[in-house]
Amino acid sequence: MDAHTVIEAYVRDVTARLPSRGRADVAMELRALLNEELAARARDAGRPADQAMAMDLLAGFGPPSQVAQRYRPEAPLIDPADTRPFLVAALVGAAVLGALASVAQPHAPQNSLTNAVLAWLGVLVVVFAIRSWAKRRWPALGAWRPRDPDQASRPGVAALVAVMALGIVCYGAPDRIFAAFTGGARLPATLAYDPGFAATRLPWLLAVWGLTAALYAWIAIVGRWRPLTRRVDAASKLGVVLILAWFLADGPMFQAAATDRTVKAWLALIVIGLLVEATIKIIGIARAAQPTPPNAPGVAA
Amino acid sequence: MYRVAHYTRWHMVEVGEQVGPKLELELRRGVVVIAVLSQLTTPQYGYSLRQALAAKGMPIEEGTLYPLLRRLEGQGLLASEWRIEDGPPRRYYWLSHEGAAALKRLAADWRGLVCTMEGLLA
Repeated sequence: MDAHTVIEAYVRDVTARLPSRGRADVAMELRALLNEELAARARDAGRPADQAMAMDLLAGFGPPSQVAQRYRPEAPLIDPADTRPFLVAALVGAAVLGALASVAQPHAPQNSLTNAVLAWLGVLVVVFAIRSWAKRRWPALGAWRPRDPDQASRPGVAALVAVMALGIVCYGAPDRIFAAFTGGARLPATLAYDPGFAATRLPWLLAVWGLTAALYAWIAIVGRWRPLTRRVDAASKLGVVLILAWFLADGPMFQAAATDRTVKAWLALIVIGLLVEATIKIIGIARAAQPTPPNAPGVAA
Repeated sequence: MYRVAHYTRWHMVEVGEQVGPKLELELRRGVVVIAVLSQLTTPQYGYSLRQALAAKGMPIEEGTLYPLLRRLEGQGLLASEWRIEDGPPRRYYWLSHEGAAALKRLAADWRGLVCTMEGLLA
C-alpha cells in the first residue's frame, strides 16, 4: 500500500463519521492538507513518502473517530456527570432483577433474567439520554437548588402513613377486608393465616408498623426529621427486619403449603432489601455523628 | 501516622508525574483559539497557518488545528474559500467581521489575564 492510498483510506474513515452535508468538502481539504504535510516530511527526510511515513503522520493526527469528533463535536449521549448515577442504577436494577429471578426460578422462562437486565439497561440509557438532552436544551433544569436533608415532605409522609394504616388493616384482618370488598364472601382457604402465626407472631409486626406509622404521622405534623426521629426510624426498620426473619425461620405463616412457600420466598427478598436500607440509614447516622475528615490531624491511619 | 504520610508523599509524586503534561495541555488549549485568530488577519490555508504559528513559537498539532478552523468557520468567526494559487487547490481562511471583533475582545481579556497572572506569580 503506498502512502497516498493510506491517506485516502484515512480521509475516508474520518469523513464517513461526518454528516453527509459538507463531507466532500472536508474530505477534499483534509486530503490536500495531509498530502502537503506528507510532502513536507518527505522533503525533510530526503526520500519519497512511503507507507511508514504516512502512518507516522496519521498517528500524530489521531484516530479517525477522534478527528471526526474534533471536526464536529457531538454531545455525549449520557452526560458524563451522570456516569455514577447511571452505574448505580444499572447495578442496583440488575441485582434486584437477579434476586427476583432466583425467587421465580422454577416458573421463569429461559433467558428471562438476561432479557430483563438488557431491557433495564435499555430503559436506563433512554431515560438518561433524555435527561441529558433536556439539561442541554433547558440549562435551568440542571441548575442546583439547595436541599435541606432534614426537611420532610408533609404530603408525601402523610400519604405514607395512609398506606401504612391500610397495610396494617389489610394484614391484620384480611378476612374482614375481603368480605367488605366482595359483599360478604369468605377469604379463600389458600390465603388463610396459620392460626399460630396469626395469634403469636403477626401481632408483633402490626405493633411495630403501628409505632412506625405513629412516628411518620408525627413527622408529617412537624415537617422535619431530627436525629432522634431518624434513630427511631432506623430502629423500627431493624425491628421489622428481625420480625420478618423470625417469620421465615419459625413455622408456617399460611395454612396452604404452596402459599406459605411463595410468600416466604418473596419475604426473604423483602428482608434483604430492608436490611440493605437499614444498614444504609445506620451508616448515614454514624457518618453524620462523625463529621471529621478521615485524614485530619490526630486521626489514626 | 507514618503509613498515611508515606502514602500521601508517594501519591503526590505519582499524581504529579501523571498530570504535569495534562496541565500544560489544558493551559495551551485555552490560548489556541486566540493564537489562530491572531494569524488570520490575512488569508491563510491550514498548512501555511500551522507553519506560521510554529515559526512564532506556537506549534499546534495538525489534528487539532485543521478541525478547529472548520469549527471557527461554523461559529461565524472565520470566512473561507477554495483558491488555486501556486500549487493544488487550497482552502483559505481569514477573519470574518465577527471574528475580528471576537479577536479584539479576546486579546483584551488575554492582556488582562496576563497582568493578573503576573501579579499572582510575582
